[in-house]
Amino acid sequence: MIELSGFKKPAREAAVIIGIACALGLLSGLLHPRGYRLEPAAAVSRDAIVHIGAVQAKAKLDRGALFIDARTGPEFKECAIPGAVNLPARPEPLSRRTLQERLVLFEREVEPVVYGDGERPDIDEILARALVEAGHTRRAYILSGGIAEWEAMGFPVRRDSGEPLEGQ
Amino acid sequence: MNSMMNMFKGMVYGNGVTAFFRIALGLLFVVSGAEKMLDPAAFGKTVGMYGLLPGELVPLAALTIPPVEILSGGLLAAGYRIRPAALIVSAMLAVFMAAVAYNYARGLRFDCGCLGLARLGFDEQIGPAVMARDLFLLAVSTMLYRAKKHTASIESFAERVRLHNL
Repeated sequence: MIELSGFKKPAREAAVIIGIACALGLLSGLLHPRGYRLEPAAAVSRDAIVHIGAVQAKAKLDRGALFIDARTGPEFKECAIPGAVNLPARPEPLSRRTLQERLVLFEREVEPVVYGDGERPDIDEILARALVEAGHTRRAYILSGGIAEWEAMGFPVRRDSGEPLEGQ
Repeated sequence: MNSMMNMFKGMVYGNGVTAFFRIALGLLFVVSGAEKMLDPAAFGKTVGMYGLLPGELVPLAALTIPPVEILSGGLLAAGYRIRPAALIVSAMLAVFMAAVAYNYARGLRFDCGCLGLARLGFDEQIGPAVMARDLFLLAVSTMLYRAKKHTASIESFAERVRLHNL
């Protein structure tokens, strides 16, 4: 696609541009008002987040896994998977600090199953990663199809009872 | 059919349409880079979600990718050092497409964090639509790299001045 003849000069110039941009970027990191520093991100290995289907999730529920509902408080109150707790990750994902404060409530050291409504798995993923990053668990599972898939499989759902987790 | 072919040849050589694409692509990169630079921590989270870089390199990437986007996009839009800028933009798009394809293939669906459009309510989840858009942008940047003439650019203006002073 790109001609190799006469490639050296633009490549050299491109390297200079990248070098200048990187230097400016690192400088801006030092001066950024929110104080973003070059701290290593918590290592979340690739197999730390596992997407599972409703059948596997049901097997985990039967074994006593902790289910975390990432939907909003009212949605959770309306219907939820029995025994689930609510850590709403919408409309904005929870900050690490808030998450850690709420995670103190769970004393069980288990591999949690995160679920949402099945439409925005990216938000479930953010929550699951945050759980791993916070050091609460080595691995977090995500119910890919959310509660919609769970209900479609005919698995039990608690309706309009129970209270969302404190703080909602 | 012939006129279509001629128009395409004209674009590849460099005409007003090429200049429009150059400026539009450049501005797109400037805006997208600026959006990321305003919130590097959020961008770092997105980079981390791609799962391609070790944790230690994620903040480094979050701090350096946006200015590279801004500088190369700015140079493209202004029409200065067009070939190297188009080369950088092409390389970034190619790497980005591969990253999206890799994550899409392993079943992950999350906001691609490409242009910051999700904040405005647009769906930017990784998938075929994002890949198709990037493929189009890659075709445009490749065309810009190969184009011989760049109207409405600093380079063409400097060349005119140089010829005038001969």
